[in-house]
Amino acid sequence: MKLLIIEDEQRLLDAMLRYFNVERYQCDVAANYAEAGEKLAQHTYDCIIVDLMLPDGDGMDLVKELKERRQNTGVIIVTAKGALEDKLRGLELGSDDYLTKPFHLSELNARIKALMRRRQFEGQNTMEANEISVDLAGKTVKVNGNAVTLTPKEYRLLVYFMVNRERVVTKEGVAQHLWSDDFNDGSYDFIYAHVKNLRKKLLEAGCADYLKTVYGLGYKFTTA
Amino acid sequence: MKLLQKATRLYLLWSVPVLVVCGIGFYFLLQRVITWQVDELLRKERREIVRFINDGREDVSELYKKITSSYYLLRLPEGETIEDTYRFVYLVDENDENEFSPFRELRCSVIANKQNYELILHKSMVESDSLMYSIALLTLLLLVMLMGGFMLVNLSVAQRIWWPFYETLARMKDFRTDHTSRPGFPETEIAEFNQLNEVAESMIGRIQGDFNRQRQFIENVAHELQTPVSIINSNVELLAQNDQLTERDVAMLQVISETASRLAKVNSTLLLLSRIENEQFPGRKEVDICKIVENHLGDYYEQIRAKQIQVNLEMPVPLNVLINPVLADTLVRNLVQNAVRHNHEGGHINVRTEAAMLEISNTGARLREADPARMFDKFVKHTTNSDSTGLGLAIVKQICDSCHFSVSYEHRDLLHILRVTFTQEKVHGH
Repeated sequence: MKLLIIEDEQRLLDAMLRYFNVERYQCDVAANYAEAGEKLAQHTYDCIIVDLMLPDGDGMDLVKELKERRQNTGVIIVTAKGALEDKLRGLELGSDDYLTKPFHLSELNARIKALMRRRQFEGQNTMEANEISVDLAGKTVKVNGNAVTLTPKEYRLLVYFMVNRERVVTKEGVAQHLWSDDFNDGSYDFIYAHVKNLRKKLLEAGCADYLKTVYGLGYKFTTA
Repeated sequence: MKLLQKATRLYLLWSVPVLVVCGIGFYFLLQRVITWQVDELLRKERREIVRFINDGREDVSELYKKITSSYYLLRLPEGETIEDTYRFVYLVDENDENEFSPFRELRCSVIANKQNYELILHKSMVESDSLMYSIALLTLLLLVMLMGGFMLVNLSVAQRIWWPFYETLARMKDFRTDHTSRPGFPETEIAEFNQLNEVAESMIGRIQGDFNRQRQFIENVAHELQTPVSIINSNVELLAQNDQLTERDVAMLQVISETASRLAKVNSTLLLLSRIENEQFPGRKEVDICKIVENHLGDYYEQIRAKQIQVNLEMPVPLNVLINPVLADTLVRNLVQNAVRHNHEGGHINVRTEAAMLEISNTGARLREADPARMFDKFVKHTTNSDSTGLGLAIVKQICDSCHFSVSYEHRDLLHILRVTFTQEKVHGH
């Protein structure tokens, strides 16, 4: 999959590249508006991640241009401005997702994968990990073919862990994912309770224990 | 005391003594004038009497037709004279014997028909006194009316003159620093007021400028911090993938991650506050506050259960409020979060609604800060809980301010009570 990351902050760019290194993404980078314009004109990408505030222009114009050319490119907008109008304007112009800084890489990864799934399978798809099978359209989970009843938050957690499998996901990242921009309570006991319940339900359904607690840091979903 | 009131009061304070002094002066002057006239009359009648005697006439009734005073004529020894003396005397009235009436007396000596006489003339003052009283009364009445009229004229003139001043005052009272609009003072013909308006306007401009710069600064700082926090987060995540970390490394990483998270939270809350201040939440619609409360209590279900908090709802009818839905949601979430977070184990949360009022009360530790007014200040923390940003109630206050709702806090019967009244205060449009 071809990915273009448009981000003027070199350190953040480096971190993104290192994180996506494990995924089999083919990453291109652009550090400013002009460079991004050139790359978009020359190549076709499956997905672009664009920071709205670039030193030499507004990232929103890139999105507009791209959508005018009717290319089937997924767009995830990244911005330090969390204003609702920006979000609505971005979505109106045809961006597929909107992420407010500061975000976690695990969250960005989840968004990219969700976007890719939506585009490739047009909403009808499943995600699997050994005996676990998740129907993303119907939002149902099966273990060895038997349905497991999860709460909405547990379901979101499972999908999040599976998308970021074989990686340590920090509890701050989980909190951000579960409560998004809600100025949440920030109590991590909360997450602990959800994860405990999820793990219990999966184990009771006869699933192997794939969910590892990385003490003090977070969790890791590993089938290895 | 109001300006016009003060002016009127001063006017009265000065006019009453002036009125009294003038009245008394006038009375005496009038008395003087009348007495002169009566004295003149007495002298005239003396001449009349002398002429009558000189003429040697006998018929006294003829004389009585000519004079109005009564007289006594006494013989005086030759060569003896009495100087003319005027005085007031009280004598028995002709008509009423029981009553004494004032008379003007002229005592003098006259030579008539070569004979020396002592003449005493008495002229009744009853009529002239009553005339004088009438005049005095009428004049007093006139004076009072004049003063009253003056006062009314003064008042209306003052009102007209001071109108721009009151208008300016009213506009300044309504003025809110966070508004971009200028108060728009009325144009007047009075130089001083124009000057006042100019000074006030330029001061407001400066305040608005400072206010906006400060707000912009906070917003910029918050924005600028978003990317560095992102970088910290990202690197923490990358580092977390390393399975060769020691326990100490992990502990430090944990601290970094949690701190970055807290920083992000403060940041996003500041940005939210500034967005509410900037009124970036237009579009209002009718929402049911009760439903939002129930939703948020549901979101905090796990925590409420973990703390074994008992929730009592007293929401008999839907509480419909015209408000931006995002703001309504944020308002209620912060109130609920506050009630849950600052509660103790086995505590209570009571939610009560009335016609246009939402009250959320909860048990919890006594606050160190006793001043209820400071409850809503930014960064005033009442607990040592590091999860708390100290901005939750500031958001509540900001939302209430921007929607013209009122919010109050009190501590009663061991309960922390927060009450939001959704009646919109009267807003003066410009």
